[in-house]
Amino acid sequence: MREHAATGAFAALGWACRRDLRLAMRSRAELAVILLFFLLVTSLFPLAVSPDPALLRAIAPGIAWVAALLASLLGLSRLFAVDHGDGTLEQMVLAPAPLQALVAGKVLAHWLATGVPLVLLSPVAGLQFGLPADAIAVLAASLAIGTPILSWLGAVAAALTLGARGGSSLLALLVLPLAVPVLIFGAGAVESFTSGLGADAHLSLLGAGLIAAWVLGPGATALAVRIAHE
Amino acid sequence: MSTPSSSAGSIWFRYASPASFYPLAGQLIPWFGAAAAILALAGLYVGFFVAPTDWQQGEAYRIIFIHVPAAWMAMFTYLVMASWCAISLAFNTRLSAMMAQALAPTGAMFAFVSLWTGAFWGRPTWGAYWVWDARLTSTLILLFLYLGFIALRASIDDPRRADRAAAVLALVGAINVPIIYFSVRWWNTLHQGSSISMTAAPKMAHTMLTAMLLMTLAAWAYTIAVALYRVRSIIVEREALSGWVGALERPGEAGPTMAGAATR
Amino acid sequence: MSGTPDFDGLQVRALACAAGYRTLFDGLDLRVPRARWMMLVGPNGSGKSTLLRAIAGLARPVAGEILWRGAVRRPDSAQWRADCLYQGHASGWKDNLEARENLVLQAALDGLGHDPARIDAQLARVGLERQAQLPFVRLSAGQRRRLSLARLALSMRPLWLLDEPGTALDAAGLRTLGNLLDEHLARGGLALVATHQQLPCAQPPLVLDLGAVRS
Repeated sequence: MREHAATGAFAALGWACRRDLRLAMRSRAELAVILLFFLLVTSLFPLAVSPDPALLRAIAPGIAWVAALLASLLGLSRLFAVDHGDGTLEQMVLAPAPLQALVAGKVLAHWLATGVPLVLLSPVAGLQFGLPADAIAVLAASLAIGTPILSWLGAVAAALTLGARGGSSLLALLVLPLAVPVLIFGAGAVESFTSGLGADAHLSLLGAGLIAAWVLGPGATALAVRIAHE
Repeated sequence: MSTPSSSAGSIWFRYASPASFYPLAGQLIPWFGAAAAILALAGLYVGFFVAPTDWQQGEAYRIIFIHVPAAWMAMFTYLVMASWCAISLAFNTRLSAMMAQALAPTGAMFAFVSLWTGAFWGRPTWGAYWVWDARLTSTLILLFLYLGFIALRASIDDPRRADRAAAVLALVGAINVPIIYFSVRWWNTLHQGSSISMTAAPKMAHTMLTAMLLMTLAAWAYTIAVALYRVRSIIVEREALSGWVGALERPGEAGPTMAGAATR
Repeated sequence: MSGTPDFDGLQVRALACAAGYRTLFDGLDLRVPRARWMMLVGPNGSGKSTLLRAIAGLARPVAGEILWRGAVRRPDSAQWRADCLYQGHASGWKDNLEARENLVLQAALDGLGHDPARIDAQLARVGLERQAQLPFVRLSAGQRRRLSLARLALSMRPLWLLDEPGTALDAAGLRTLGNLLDEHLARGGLALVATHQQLPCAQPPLVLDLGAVRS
């Protein structure tokens, strides 16, 4: 195992990302639970609503997106809480490396470990609901752009709720209202595509949101992490 | 931060400490309370008795004289609350955070009133208590943002840490509020068109606009009065260990002193 | 500011800290010169941990200032974070990683270049060479504490802020801690150590009793 000094911003980001991915690989079972949860939620809707194929095709993008949102919430409370509990987050706050870069590395690792598998699993949900192949591609693309935004929104909320009572329900209360635009444009992209209007506008807005999340997220999350240690 | 004895500072900083703001707030409350009562009476009179009956919606439309000002105040209060939060983070002041804490319940109340009166308007007008109109939906999400702010404050024990964490949340929410509103409008126009929309209110007669304005000013004065009242009890609760709070109960003593550790 | 030369070491002036609504201490002054160490004593709840955290830059003091080498130190200064090594109550290590992996990661975060030979040497010095491949969670309490000693052994930083470093250490472990502290002081470093135990360090410490400060 080779680790170079993590002093510059990119070195720090790489350090944090590699570390969190290594830790994620040691708890693969927890990641599998998140993916199974996604499939379970998407399977509940036909049972609760109706197996009518036309109806399911119409509501498929929304269901896939809500399921992805809820599944991401599962992994968010562990993003900082474990490191906070064993004192390693404290050492990151005190390290010479910029905290924004360390935090960005953690969020990137979180997306790679939970967001990307959800994107890869979304065609399964699409097939469950009878979406055509090109619509599935748009669904996967919208999730690919949207899940990193969810990771950043969740990171800020997870950092703010460190050491607060209420745990993951408080986290959900904070994240879900903020995630509404991502949900609207993500699911809307697929619906817009299937109705012939094209998904470009929605995906571009999501892309803009992704850039905004990467620009504003590190600073806000680092500030929240510092506040949690006061 | 400057202490109140350094009167060379501007009037802004002179009242920036809770100790000196407390009596000022007490003096202002009756004025704003009276203004709120007078404006509300005037607005309700104009809205319910003077404004003409709408030929399309009958008498039921009059609920907008409460619904619309409440929705505006919910949004405006959130922005004011977020501004106080920004000041408290930038200058590390306690009083700004206390003002934000005082405003949040009132803002949430207005959001809730707006949703409630919207339901009472929707029922006679369109036959449904809830329609997924863009403004109603955005107000619902705004209510959740308020409740999240209040819940986060309540779940952190240390008061200064709760101040700062809730401030970050309020700022993140403030950046998101226009995005949420825009996205909900987009979603609404795509799906329902503008057939059911509370923004397409009946054509505003002059008196209707007057009533709306009076009610909005009344809501604004009410918010200030209630926030000042609430911030006074927050100040007493949080500054309880400083010497000056005890002096309030013994009239005739000299003005507030800055005993104790909390001098910023 | 008088005309005296800048104090080369750690200085705290008129520091006041609170925990929630409770004032822990007010108007605290201390000075630790180079090549000396200070022992922080006091009953539980007297604010030893909070003082260390405030100096490190984690906790926000209510009033006062902290000076490092004559200049007011800002907690977000990268130079300060490179000069100060803080070990608190929490272990600071990941349960799921091996002892050696933990140490390699922390050394990289501390800004040390990749040097596997040095890592192995310090693990041997603290007596963990046979436990290096074990997951941290499988180590005993004393062995876990020794990993923190290995981090101290690798560190080149001039200021150490240690909160109860001797907890769970046996006599041999305490001797290692004492030796590390001596070597650190001989290099010109300084340390502020909160402890209930007597540490076998050749240099006698300055002592600050937080229980006495409050009264």
